[in-house]
Amino acid sequence: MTKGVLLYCFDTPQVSYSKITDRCISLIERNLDLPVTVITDADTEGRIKSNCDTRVVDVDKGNTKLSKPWYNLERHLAFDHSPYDRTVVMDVDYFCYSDKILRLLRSENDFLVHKSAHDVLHREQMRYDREAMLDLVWATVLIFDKTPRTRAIFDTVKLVKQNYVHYCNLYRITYKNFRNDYAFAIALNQINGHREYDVIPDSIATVPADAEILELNDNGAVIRYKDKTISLQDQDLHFLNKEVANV
Amino acid sequence: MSKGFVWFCQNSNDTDYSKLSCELARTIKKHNKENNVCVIVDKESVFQSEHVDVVKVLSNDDAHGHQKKFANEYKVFDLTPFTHTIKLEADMLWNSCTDWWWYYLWQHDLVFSVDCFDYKEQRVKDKEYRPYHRRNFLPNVYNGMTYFRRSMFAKDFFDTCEAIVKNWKFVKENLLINCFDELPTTDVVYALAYRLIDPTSQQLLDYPWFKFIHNKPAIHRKKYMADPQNYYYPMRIDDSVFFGEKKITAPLHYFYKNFLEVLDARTL
Repeated sequence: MTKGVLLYCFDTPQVSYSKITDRCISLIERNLDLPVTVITDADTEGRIKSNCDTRVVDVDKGNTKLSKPWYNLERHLAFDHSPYDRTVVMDVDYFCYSDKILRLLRSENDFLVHKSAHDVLHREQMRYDREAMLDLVWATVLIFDKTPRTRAIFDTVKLVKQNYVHYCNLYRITYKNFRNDYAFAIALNQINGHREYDVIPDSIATVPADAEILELNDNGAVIRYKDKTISLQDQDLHFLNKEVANV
Repeated sequence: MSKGFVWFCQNSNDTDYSKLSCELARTIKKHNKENNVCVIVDKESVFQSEHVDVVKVLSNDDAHGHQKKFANEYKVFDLTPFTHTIKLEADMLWNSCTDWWWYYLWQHDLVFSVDCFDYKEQRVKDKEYRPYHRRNFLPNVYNGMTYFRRSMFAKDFFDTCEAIVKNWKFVKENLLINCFDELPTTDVVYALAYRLIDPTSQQLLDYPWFKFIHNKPAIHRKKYMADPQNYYYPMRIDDSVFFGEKKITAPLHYFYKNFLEVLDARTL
């Protein structure tokens, strides 16, 4: 069975995701030792310096976040894009400072996703359970086998994406822009018969957008928030501050 | 020693509380083995139901002529036929077996529902609808579900409630800040009475399960929803109540008086 990591990387006018991808891939090589395939567009491909398999697609550039371009509309095609039997799809701003993903890859579940995330500064609960009638999942990291069931999950995500306004109304989702987190939550909810399903048991450590990133090294990051300097070591981190590209 | 559920039922111009009481009694009996029910009524609201064990008629109706009939609620301590009582409101539904509650409750004199649940059965501390609680720093207790046993502490509490109700004008002008209610509401009376008998809330028990779902928009954190009764697709299937696809288990205080029709509209 082949295993590998699938990344989506599309530079926007504001953020050089290719730089973030290079850093992400170097950590994958160091801590996971898995092959990496990057799905990208023609403009971005030449800027990715890492040694990895790249595949160029026509990116759907319709979405925005905080009035800025947000190219997040390809994730539902991961089943088709992935050349691996068992695939880890992750955001390029998810940095693997541990081998946690390897342990998850050894599990027997054919589809895994996080259901919770936390702010490393412990300022606020990253809970959105009042924003919709169903619990959100974090599509930051997806682990899946190619099985009929996971095919059905991705097909349902496609269906949700095509009819997102309807599903927003159906599940009373407040956030009206397309969001993979809700699309996968809806698909998992429906495929699992509206019951609980297996998820990654821990929570995503999230570095918030307003924390200044001082240093990135092989084992972690040093961040500053107000007058506090915090060292985060040996744990996977999800960076919301896109300045991570320039550190 | 007896255990049971008690609530007041006084029909108003726009609501037939006897019908709601029968439905609540039916759901209590459906789910619980410990299911004695006593309903306290005024002379105009007397009814009979196979699901209600005792119908007590108020000999003296302090709420006569009131639009909202809260004025008799302090009498529950004297009127309950049970040693251990859970006091409810008529516009509620019972959704699961709660017999095990008694083993915890009867060890105490007085237990309130502190805070409430939203439709996901997550605790809500907001006091959106409770300006007097907020302004006066009153404990966020709900009279909609209150346990008490025959005890001196509970008697003190209900005697204090009576004093507040009977001296409401003085209370609102001297004990409460910015309170302009012409008539006392039971939630404010309970909260103030408890603050008076236990100022630091040292004996205020807060069981995480002794709460009910309060079906008000802001409790669900959706203050400005269109059609709030239907917004979360409430429905009832074989005596199980669902909001959307989630089956609820906590008692439901549905608040909207025609909610029973809404609840059954999708399934009947």
